Amino acid sequence: MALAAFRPLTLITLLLLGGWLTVPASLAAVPSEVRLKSPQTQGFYQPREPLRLFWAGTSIADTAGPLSLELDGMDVSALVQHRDTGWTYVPVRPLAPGPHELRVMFYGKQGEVRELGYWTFEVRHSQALRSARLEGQLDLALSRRVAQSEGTGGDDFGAQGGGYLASELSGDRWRLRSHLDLMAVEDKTLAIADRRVDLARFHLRGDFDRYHLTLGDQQLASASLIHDGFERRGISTGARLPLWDGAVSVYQATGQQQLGIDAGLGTDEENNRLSGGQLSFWPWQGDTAQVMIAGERLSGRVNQPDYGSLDPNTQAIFTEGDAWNVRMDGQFFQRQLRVRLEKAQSEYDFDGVNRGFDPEEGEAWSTLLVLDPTPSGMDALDWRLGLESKKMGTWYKSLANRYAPADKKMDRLFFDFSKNQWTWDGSYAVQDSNLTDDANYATSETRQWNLRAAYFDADLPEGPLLTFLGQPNYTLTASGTTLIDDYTPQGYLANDLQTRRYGLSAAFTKVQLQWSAGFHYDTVKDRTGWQPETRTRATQLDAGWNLTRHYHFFIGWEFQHTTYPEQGVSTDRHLYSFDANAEFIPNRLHGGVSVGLNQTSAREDPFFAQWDQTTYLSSHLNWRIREPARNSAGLELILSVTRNDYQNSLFMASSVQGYQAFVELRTSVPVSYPGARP
Amino acid sequence: MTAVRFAIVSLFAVWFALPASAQEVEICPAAQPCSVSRPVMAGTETRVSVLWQGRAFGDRIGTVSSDVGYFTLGNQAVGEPLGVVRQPLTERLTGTPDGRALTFSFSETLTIPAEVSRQAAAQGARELSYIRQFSIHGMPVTGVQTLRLSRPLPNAARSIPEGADVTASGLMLRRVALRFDDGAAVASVARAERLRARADIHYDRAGLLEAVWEVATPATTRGEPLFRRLDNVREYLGAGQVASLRSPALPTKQPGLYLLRLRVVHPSLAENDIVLRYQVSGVSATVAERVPVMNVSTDNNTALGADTEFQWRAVPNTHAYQLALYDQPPEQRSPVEPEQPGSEPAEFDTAPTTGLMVKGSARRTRLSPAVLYQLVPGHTYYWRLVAVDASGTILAASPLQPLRTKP
Repeated sequence: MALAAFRPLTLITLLLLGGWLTVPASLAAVPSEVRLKSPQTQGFYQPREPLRLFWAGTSIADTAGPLSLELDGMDVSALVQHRDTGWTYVPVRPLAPGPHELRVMFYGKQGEVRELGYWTFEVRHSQALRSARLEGQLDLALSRRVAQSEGTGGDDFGAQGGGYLASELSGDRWRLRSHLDLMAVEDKTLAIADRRVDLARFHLRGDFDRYHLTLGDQQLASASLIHDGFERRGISTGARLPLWDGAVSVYQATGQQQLGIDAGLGTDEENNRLSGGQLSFWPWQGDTAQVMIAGERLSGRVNQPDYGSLDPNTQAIFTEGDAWNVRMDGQFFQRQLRVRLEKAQSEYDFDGVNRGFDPEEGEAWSTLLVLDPTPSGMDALDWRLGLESKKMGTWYKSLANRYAPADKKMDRLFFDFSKNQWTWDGSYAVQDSNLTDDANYATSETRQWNLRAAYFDADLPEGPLLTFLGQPNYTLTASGTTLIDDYTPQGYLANDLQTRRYGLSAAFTKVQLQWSAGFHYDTVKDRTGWQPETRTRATQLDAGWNLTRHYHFFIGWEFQHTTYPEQGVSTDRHLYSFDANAEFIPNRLHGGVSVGLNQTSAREDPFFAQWDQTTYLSSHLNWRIREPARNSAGLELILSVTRNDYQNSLFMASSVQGYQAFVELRTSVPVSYPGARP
Repeated sequence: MTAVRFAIVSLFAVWFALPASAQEVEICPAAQPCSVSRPVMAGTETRVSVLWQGRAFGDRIGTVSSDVGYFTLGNQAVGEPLGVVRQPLTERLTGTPDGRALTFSFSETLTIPAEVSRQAAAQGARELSYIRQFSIHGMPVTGVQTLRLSRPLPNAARSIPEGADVTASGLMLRRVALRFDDGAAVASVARAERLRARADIHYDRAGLLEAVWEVATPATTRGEPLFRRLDNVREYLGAGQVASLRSPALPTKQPGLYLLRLRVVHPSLAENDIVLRYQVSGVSATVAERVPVMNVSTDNNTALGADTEFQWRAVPNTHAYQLALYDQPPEQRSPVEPEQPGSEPAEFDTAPTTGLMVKGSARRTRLSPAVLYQLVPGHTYYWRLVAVDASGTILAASPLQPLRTKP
């Protein structure tokens, strides 16, 4: 009887009721078979290709209930387009290349669950390419100075440009990736490496099956005792090994970090080149534990400091050396315990090649234990405890980690806890120096500790005042160090120094208003009397106000008050800032003003007397002639005026003031293919 | 070779050529060896105590004196001396009538300049000779002290000598390296994209670091760059020998070339010019790493289930909303920026465990049977809602929040 009552309901009518279909009868009709239409291109779907489903036949379910379409576990039923004979779903976000799952399910109201269709399919760009992506931004600007104060330097006409391009192409067995940073300036003094048009950075990587080759700026190895982990210009190649998920790689690169096309591939200079290789295996990889063992060796020569770094003690010599390490990194006991061990040795010619002393050998080791017994979660106490011990020998130095502190032994205990909106963390470390007890040097012990408590709530708190303040973020910090000599060479001052820092910050966020306040108190006490005892109180207040979507204001104040108790003097530093941005005509006319006022009142400073004030005022008006769009250039006309006044009340002759005004025409092209990122 | 150096070498030659008056005067004889208090550290200015000893025979009263000393390699008085010490030494002697030997000694505090020991080490020497020509009873006698060279410990800093002048900062900077957050020394970002830099500081000793973050914006790099102060840094570095300073958020609202520098005030440096460059494009980010926050309300006190309703305000240009549920906190593509209020990560590295999509016209939703079917009882899920436009770009996202299903 019930079945007869159901018959008038056609399947089409049933489908037209929508994704969450309910049938006002105790029984319901569901498709007996669902078919997924084959993709337009044989064998695969494209990232935003519609998925078309066709019903075939009907069957009866015990109760009514909704049909649903699930793509990779996500219920997308509400967005399907209903056809007479089935559904069509156009992915809202482009599907990433690779395998995907699609299900049609029936969920009966009495708990009946029936899978009506299940498919796995591959998404790719085309028959030849698994994926293809290009993304970037390119700019070119021409500017003309229309007014300036007397004596202002620089060119009246300027041209600047640049941007970046990133691409990725992949097939079934290969992948090519690239990233290029371009920079162009007409004024050579602003160039990144003495070229008006330069390729500041580049990275090209090709993978084929188990092999890879990388050219350009890259991270050659992860941070370790022998490697600082920073990127360098070079060539590297490697392969995955069939044993224990092993990998091997070799590289040749610049000894120091460099920029610009003239640095080439980083392998040209014999006296500034690193060569090395590494080997790693995963002999144990399970759900509850895993172990990785690895080793690395490198050698080479270095003769300059890195780009963008200042090395006051640098000498015009080149040094050479080599270093190797072995390390084990494992997770045990349901991955709740991490153990990392590393041992390294180095040979380094400290005074330069063929200059005086021979290279010296040194060694270093480190151990790390981290206990993390609780799964991450916000409703239970989540805690972590760690122990680290590290020794860097007196003569230890690796070319690829030249600035790592050495001649030290350090033990450190650290922890962190979190529960709900609270997090706490802290550490305590003891460090000893002069491991060889060289009588020419002090043997010192340093103790360092820090504690931090933070509270962050994603919701507005209850209560009129707290609700008024907004979504809160509080942080409380305390840290300190003590440096004391165990031994001091005769004729020298014994180290006995102590620093402390206490800080408090609060930030609040509302839809239209954000503001924050911070305070920290720093002290240093050097009992040798060589450095003065000082105390610094720093206060900072910031507020941002979004009046509407088109008008934004920001105001900030930073105040530093330093006292020298023994001398009985104090100094003050104020830094005020104000920024306002307005979109007078949406997407067309935009303007802004920035004001910075810096006041230093340190007439009585016993070391560096200052009494000056700097006022910086800058404003701009941007007329967007044409809005940039994907792969379509935009055009913008910019008028900017800047005024800078420096008044030195101690040395009046040092006071300067000036202004500059420019007109600039700028074109910008956002490059993107095929569109939004999956 | 200058005339002075020629004269010095000539004098040495003459002195060594003179017939030794060893019968009457001896300097540093075996019975009374001369000595040096400690080795000389190569490349470092070193002060040592030098003891000169000798004996003289005769009954005359006179003086032992020396006007200058010389540093050489070996005890050969030929070639160019590495350095000269113009410090006179004088001692009065009284003769003995019985003709017995009269002993004498001088203590000299000698400072070996860093350059002298560095030159010696650079030539492969392990020892340095310190030669003084003494005049005793008018007779010239040469004394030679051997100064053993030792190498300085490369990773240790010398202590401060007693009596050193008070200084504003006891820090000794080994290196300051500026980098942007991703580790690169140059950056190219979209308009209004978030950007920060950090300074890695390697130092010895302990003390005050005072510095200023400054930036020159396109408003001046189009002509003569003028730096605007962004932040004052005053920190006491006490341990670890490594510190990292993070810059405030760098301005990125105007397109063009920016110059960034960290000007170190204390300790004072002879050269203080590290400038990084970054450029801001005239267009907004193609894919924003972080997106504005959207507020979604739900009753957090109830368990996650069929009755849980999520409500939100419309986000303009939204084509669809996605309610995403994760069975554990997902990893973020970019580090957490708790100090960046008003934004949320656009993407997570981890795909949602389950969830649902609703049309852009919707303002509320409950969990569908498909989602409920996939939830595990008594488990905490982390949810958020994202707004997606027609091109698939994420426009806004709510903060990640936990909700627990009923046991």
